[in-house]
Amino acid sequence: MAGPDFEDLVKVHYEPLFRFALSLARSEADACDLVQQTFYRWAAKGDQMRDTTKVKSWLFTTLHREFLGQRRHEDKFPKVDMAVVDEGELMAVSASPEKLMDGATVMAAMQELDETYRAPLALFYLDDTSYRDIAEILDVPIGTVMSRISRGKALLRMAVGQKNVG
Amino acid sequence: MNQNEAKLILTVARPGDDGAADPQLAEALALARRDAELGAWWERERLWDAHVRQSLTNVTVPPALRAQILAGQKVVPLTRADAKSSFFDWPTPLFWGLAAAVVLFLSLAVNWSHSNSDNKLASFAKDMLAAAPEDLRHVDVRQADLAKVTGWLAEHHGPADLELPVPMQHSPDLMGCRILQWHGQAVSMLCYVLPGPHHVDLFVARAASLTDVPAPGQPKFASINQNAIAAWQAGDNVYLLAGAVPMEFLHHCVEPVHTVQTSWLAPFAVVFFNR
Repeated sequence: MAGPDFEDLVKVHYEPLFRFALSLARSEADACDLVQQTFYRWAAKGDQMRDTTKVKSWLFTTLHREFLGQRRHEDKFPKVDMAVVDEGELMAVSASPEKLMDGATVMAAMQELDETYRAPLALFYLDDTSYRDIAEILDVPIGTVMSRISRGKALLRMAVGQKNVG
Repeated sequence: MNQNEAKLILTVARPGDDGAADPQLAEALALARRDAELGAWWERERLWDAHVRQSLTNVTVPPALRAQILAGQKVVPLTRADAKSSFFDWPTPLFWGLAAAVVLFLSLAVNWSHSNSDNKLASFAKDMLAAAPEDLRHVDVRQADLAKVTGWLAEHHGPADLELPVPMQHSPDLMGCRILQWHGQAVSMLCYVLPGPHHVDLFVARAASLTDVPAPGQPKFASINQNAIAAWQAGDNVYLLAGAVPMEFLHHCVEPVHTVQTSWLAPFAVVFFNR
């Protein structure tokens, strides 16, 4: 059975995946890498998937695992100096400044949260994903997802409030 | 269901979900309609959620990202079922001859790996293998065009005056590049994707930064942590080719630069680099 067309898959999912990645990775370059690596994984293995209704969940789960794997690696090899690509030469931002500032403020506040709350909260806000799907993506119990989203919202309110005051 | 239980359920409700498929949510919504305090809280919660959701949706996705993802796909077919790994299809006499060579190379590796000086080739190899694992940051730039890769390396102050073996000069399997730092000096890294799950990384540093650079025309081969390694000197640079690949493959990659025996090497180079 043929899986979804790769280009169509990218078209549908790359934006929510990027925003989820940005909330996790805290830098645009790292978020882009996470998204690209996720689609790379899909292209390498995803076409083995039989249940096409699970594609979105697979992509988000894979991206989250890539993030966790990357973080583990950075913990393991913290001393290696790596050149950082000038983001400007890879991509340009084209949104209107007002909109970008608004979204950027909320995103910046979210990025300040502990990862425990950041991942479920980002999935809750960024994509039409139920808390049951979020539990599956993050591999945690449903009750845990509910409490983390609830607590995460409270923390996000505080963080946004501090930024608005500041 | 009390007010706090209802809040916990309502706080994870999707916009527009009336609870038709979730009895607990339906009960919480019903309670919010009866309980004015809970109802007011729920209204504020919905407004807040809508504001946050809209704000985050306004975060701009880099316009080049989609194209970069699609461009990156071209390295992927190498891992698909239709990609052939023809390495093990080599003629048997050649295979056994090279197998014998591997034994020799491994013995060299023992001596090589005993070196512990910071500026020695073995240290360089170990540090590079540790610095460039298979992670999502494996390359800084995904680019298959060697000219663009060398241009980027030059802009970022890495060795870019490359003298590559012929098969690697025109390889469609070049995936991207990266700059690493070693003892304060920039090291250029080029990644090539091979058939199956394999890839090899080529590290290029200034020859002057090492004290035991192989003499021109006399490449060294070794194994470190299941990675096959080849090192050679060309021009002002020392080259280190490494990957979890059979040693024979590196041998074929490296030798064309030092010999002119391309009549029998070329077919294999074509298989790997010019599919």
